[in-house]
Amino acid sequence: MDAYEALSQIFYLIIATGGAIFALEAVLYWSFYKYDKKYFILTSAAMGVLIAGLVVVFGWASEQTPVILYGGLIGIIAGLFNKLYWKGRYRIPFMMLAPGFLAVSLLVIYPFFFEMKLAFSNLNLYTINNWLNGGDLKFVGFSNFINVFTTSPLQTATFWQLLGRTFVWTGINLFFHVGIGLMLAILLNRKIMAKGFYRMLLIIPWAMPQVVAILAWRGEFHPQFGFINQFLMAIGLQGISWWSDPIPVFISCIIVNIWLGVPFMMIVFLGGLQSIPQSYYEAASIDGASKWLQFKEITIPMLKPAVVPSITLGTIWTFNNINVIYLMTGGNGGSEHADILVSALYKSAFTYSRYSFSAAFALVIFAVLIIMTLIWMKISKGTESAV
Amino acid sequence: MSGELKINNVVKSYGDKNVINSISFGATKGEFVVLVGPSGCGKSTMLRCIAGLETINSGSITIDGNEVSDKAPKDRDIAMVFQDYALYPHKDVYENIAFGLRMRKEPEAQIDRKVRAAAAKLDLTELLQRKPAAMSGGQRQRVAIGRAIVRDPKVFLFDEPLSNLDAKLRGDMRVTISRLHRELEATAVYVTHDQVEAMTLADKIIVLNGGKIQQMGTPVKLYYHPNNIFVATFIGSPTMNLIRGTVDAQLMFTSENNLKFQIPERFKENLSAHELAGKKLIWGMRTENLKISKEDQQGQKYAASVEVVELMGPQTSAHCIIEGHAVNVMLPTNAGVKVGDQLDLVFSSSHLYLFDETSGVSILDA
Amino acid sequence: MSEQENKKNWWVHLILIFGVGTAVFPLLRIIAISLRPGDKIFSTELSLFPTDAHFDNYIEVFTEIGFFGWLFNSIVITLLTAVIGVALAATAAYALSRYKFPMKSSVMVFLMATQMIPVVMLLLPLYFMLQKMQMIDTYAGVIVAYSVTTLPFCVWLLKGYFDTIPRSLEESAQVDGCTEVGSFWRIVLPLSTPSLAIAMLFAITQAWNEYIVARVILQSSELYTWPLGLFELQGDFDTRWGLFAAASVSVTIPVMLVFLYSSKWLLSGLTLGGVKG
Repeated sequence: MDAYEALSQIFYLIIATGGAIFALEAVLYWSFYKYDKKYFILTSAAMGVLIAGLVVVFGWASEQTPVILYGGLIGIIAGLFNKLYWKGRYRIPFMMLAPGFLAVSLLVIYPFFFEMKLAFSNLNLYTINNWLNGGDLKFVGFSNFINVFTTSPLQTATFWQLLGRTFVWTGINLFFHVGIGLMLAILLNRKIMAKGFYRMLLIIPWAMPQVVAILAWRGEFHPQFGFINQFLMAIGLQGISWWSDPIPVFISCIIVNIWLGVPFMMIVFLGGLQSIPQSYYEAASIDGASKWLQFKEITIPMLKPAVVPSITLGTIWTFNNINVIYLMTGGNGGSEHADILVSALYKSAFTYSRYSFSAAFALVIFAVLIIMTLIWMKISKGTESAV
Repeated sequence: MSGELKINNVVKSYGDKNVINSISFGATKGEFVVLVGPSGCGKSTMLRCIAGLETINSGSITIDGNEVSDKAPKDRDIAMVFQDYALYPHKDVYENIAFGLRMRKEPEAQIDRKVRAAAAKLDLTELLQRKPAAMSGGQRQRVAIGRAIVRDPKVFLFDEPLSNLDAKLRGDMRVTISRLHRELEATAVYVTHDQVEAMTLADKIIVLNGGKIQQMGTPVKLYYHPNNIFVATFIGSPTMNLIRGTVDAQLMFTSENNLKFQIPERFKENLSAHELAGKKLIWGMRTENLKISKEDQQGQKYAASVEVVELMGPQTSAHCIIEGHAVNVMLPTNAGVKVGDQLDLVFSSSHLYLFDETSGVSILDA
Repeated sequence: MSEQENKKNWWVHLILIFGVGTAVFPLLRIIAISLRPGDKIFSTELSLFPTDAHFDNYIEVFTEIGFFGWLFNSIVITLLTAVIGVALAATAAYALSRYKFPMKSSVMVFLMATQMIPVVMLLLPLYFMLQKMQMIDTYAGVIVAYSVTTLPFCVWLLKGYFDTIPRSLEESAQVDGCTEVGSFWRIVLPLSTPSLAIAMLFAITQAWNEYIVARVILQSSELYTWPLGLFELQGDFDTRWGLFAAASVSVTIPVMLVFLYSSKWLLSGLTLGGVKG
């Protein structure tokens, strides 16, 4: 589609969005303000069904009956709650929350359920055309899930290898992000000249657009013309085939991700360090504590609360980081030796067109994430109570 | 134009907790009503219910005959002065004051006239172009008041407006508020925890505790005829002294430390109606009820030993021990009272404060 | 700064200079490559500014490939994402900041949880959904996807700021004559411009630099955003390094300047103080 058509699509989008929000607010308004009227429940359900019907007519719904039922259900639920329980009390917050919630439910919740449906069906390269033309999908039970664990998502790696590699990836990155970030933050926290200058330059990896940075680094890892190998050869070592050998590929990705992630951690640590009142250190040095002791007993405990949320976030971002792997290994058709779970997911869906398989794969990855989060929460609750 | 306010059996609860327990009172046109009480007694909540910022569970609020219990704040024709002034930081003083009028779509010329009139009343004319951030606390408070008076509402509401000011400013602002009230003949409900503000500003004081009205009346009435211990100790500064004891058939009050006080004859009639024998009682004595006795003075005398002395201006607060009881007495500073002095004090009061210890209720509704 | 302290800190400076060197290295390299004439692209020189530097690559980038087209696409998508995303986030954040209502904590937890979901997970169903609605290969599809992914963080940011605005300001406005929504619109929003600006900046940064989602949704090269276009320049066999470098530099320098200029603001924005009446 060309640019002009795309632009006109935008008007379409704005009108549709505006209309959807308007319709939603109308239903809510009716629910919250007029719940005393006689045929209230009936009209609520009718409104819900009407809107759902419009959606179907526009051809946006992939199935018609569920959507209409969904619409009617929303109308009834909103109505019942109001008539019996809330009596119009929470109208303002709900009406204000509604547009955002509508957007999120359409584009996060609904796809989630859609993904579950895909995971239990047999959509792949062969059946996709049939399905797109209005055909139906076969229900295949748990076979996709079993396939995730038994057959390989990629030609070169099984699920377990990918899982292991992802953990290694996350662990090594985390270690260096925190280690180097903390060290730089401590250095920047001292009284030295040109502190601001250093700080500004050190966040350049964060300031550069990721795509540019990664592709530039990819160039530097080029076996022949990249800086890395030229440097190695200049000091008498042999060049490494960063682009093709399994382990060097992985290592090059790790190096680039560390380079990308350190500034964020550094800034977070710096902020944390600067918020520790000097008086603690002064009291400690009067008491005769060594620098190392001060670090252990003052700096680390006081940094923890300020820094743990960011570390958690950083870990999740690293675990889910697809950009670095994908771009460093040359995208579709590039090396698959560095793939972690999420990049393998992308490839199995969009390169190999194993759609249902990918849906199951995605849900498995999500389950892994949830388990990790629960374990993390238990651990951090444990240390919290210990403190 | 000021109006009449009626509060009828208002109940307000959060979950199962009753913050306001069926309160009723009224404010006639031009009356200045003050709600006082300790923190958590429900006075601010009551004010916010009148304003419409909180909903009530039952009861009714009427302004000039119109029931407003279900109406939004903007439809009640009230104005409110907040504790933290609540001035719009991005607007200058003129716009802050004009905001309410603009919301009501009044014509520009009229707005200008009203704003300038209000500013003049509060000495704000030079500050009209300033932003709140560039003003002192006292100036901001005047702007907040100006914003309220420019709307000419039926009822003015004040939510502890002077709490954030320093002591001297507080005194000045009290006078300003008093003056404005008289000029505008405005109906006002004023909430404070400071009983000095209550006593000085109110036409009628309502003392609240635990969501219930303890007593309602003029400052003088509450001072000399408190209904119960709570009101007696809350009103009046420094606090009333309390002495535990019993009264025998001869109306002799004997404290737990054997301090004796003979209740004057004239109270006999009132007291005879009550079964006093054997009841645990509390005798209240205000700090000005004891004076330094002169040589031949008649009256009940007590020996006091001075422990702590606080100079408060023309009066000095002397914390003494009388027969084992800690008693606070206000004495003239030029009497030269010092720590360690042994004083002869004489009881001098036409009022008697006697309370039932168990119920806290005043025995003499004198 | 005493001489003693200076001497003590030389090793600090050494480490920092090494860090800075690593940080700016790729940037300097692509600047150097962009300035090299075509025949010297693959030279093994390590120098930063070659002696015969010239701007041929830049000229070609600006005139021959669809560079400005990419920029245009990116601008359209980014601006609309920022506006829609922040608008939706503002009302939601206000509701979360000021009101108690049933299921409020679930909503907040849910918002946090969506940050955890990798985009890739939702890409597949999103792709099919957008296809059904015929929004594949349009600006609209990308805008829709971006607006929603940027929502949770913007809501969190704006809620934090709204929390610092004293409620008495809105109450005063309501007594003065505003409805509840009116006090939001007339008082709270104007006071929140710093935070709104930061949220927009964040949304813009996210949308501007995004690659994977755009890759899946946009298919005609006419509609490519600049990351997609840049990737095109770096194929496996016929990488046009000079052009790639020049295009990279052209996009990177403005973005970095904006980021560095607003970084102090941005970082303090995560802890923005409030408004005192």
